[in-house]
Amino acid sequence: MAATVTRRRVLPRVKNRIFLLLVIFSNTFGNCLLAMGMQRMPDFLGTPFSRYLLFLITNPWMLSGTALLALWLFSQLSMFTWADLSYVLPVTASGYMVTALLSKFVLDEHISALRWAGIVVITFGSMLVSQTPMRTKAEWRERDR
Amino acid sequence: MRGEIVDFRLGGLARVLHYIVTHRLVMLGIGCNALSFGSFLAVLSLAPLSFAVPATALNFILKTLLAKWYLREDVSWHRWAGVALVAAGILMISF
Repeated sequence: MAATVTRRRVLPRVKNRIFLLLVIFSNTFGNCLLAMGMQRMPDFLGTPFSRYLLFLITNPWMLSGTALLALWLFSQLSMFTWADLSYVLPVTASGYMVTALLSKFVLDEHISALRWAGIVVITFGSMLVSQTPMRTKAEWRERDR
Repeated sequence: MRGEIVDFRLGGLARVLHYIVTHRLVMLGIGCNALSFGSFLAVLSLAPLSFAVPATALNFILKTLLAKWYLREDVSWHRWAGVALVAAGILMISF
């Protein structure tokens, strides 16, 4: 009986952590690939629209970035079936730290000290929210009892 | 289909996908996300990623407010403090 209760409590936490990582990394890497793709696009104003569209849909960075963002969307929507919106969004904001690291080391962007400080503050805020219960609606409280 | 997703086999995922594409509110939400995505792509072509991504994250505050008022989530002061820190971090990044 104790083993069953423990398993019932452990599995949702494991599932939650797996999906949090999936949401964070698919969003971060998806955005990074999109940024790389956009940097390889021709000038929007100087290119015929049909040609620009063709470049867009055949750009491998854009395609892979979009696929990862589709995975991000699906993962996030799945999380909303067991966790609060006000929990999922701030907790997954810790991905900004990953985005900053990718921006610096992959895209070779300069990040000022103030911007780094802002990213650290965002991460602390995300960690604070992660300490709160992941679901608070009355219907879930009843089910969790 | 209601409630928490527990079946992650192919059939289960297919049912979730079917629910997503046939539920009007979810599709409307995805439509709004698509609009946001299009604007975000435009921003990406003008600004570095490390600015573009956090700068568009001010919708956190709006979403938390909507979660409290519309979704009736219990947003404790801990959670508000976390959201406030996220918002403060966003402001720092904007400068």
